[in-house]
Amino acid sequence: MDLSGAFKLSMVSVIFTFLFTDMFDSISTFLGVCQVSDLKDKDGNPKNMNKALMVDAFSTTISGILGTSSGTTYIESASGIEEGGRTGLTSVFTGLLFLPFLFLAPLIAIIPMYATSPALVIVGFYMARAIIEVDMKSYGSGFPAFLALILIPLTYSITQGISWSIVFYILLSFFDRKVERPSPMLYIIGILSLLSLYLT
Amino acid sequence: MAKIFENLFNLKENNTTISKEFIAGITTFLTMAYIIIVNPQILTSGTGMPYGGALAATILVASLSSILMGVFANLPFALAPGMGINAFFTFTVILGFGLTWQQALGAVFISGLVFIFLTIVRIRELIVKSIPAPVRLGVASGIGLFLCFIGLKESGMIVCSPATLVCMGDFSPKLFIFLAGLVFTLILLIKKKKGALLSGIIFSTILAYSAGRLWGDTILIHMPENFFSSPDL
Repeated sequence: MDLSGAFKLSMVSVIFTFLFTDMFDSISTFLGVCQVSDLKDKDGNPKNMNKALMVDAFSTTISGILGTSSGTTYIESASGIEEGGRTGLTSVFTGLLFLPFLFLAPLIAIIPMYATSPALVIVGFYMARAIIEVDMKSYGSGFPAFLALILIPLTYSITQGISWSIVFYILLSFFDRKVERPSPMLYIIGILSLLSLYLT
Repeated sequence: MAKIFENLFNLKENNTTISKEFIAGITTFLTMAYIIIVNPQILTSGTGMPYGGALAATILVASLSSILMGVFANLPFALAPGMGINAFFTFTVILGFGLTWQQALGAVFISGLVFIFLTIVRIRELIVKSIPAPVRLGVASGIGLFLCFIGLKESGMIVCSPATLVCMGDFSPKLFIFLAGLVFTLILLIKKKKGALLSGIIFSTILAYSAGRLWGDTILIHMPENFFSSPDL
């Protein structure tokens, strides 16, 4: 790790993109997975969110020290949740299962990626059902949700999908007065989203 | 032992058991284990980063952060170096902007520190709360399609096409195994069997291993010559 180069001005956009992508990938994962499971608090927000976000931030920090790109929360966690995993014990088991592969890395090739494909497709179906809770007859709320639905897979990026969805939610809210008003924070996120879409 | 788990994770209150959590933990591990191979491959392509180091870092980050997520936040979320951001790290930051890999790691570290700061002052929480319900639901379903898309691509069900971007792939042993695994898993789910996804992964792996050995003429899984490799820390 070399910090000298990291303080140059040109690095600001790099760090911003790291931040933005990592942040929105993990926030979207928390929101998305909690949305379809019962891992929500009484206000409908992800449970233990601040602690979870802290671990996510810690993961990125040790990534820089240990020598890999940013650590983030994985959407594949949804497959364990679909199997009934509800607490941190699930992630402790997952984490422990990684350790032997420090010595057994070649062994992982025995499970081919397409053997896990049925699980991914089924978990995908399970998560995609969330769309039925959106009022798809309303343009103001239906269209931004639809944009996230279609752009996340097609841009191959959760961050770009949610960014476009937020930008259109804000834009359409000026004309469709029936949708929930964007908070000041959402306007800031909208502007940063546009900036990040432009940079990447 | 069971008592410790109960106190640490509130299993009863969350309507779960050690065995359920174990099956869930294995399933999540198996669906994300590809990162052990893919991440070091991406990070080392043309960047000069040593492979062994990238491999060890990938595994350690995945392991430590997932365990911490479990113990500290008590949530069934696993972590590992992210796909997408690793490509940005390699192809845009190092190969595109010409940074050294050491400098790029410095940028990752700094973004981690900024993250910790944004979390402590609760800005991240504020961001999450500001995201309106339709966007949240759209993102959940979009992630669903994304997972599907990745699964379909890996199975060869869909392939890239110069004329239409994507199209259906040719029938291949891989595709047959995927379809068999898909139907098998769906039947288990309909019959409400425990560990359906995990059973599906094991079923498909056995089918893949027997390809070229018990049926067909193409060997799909080659046993690695060495199971062991010493970590490069």
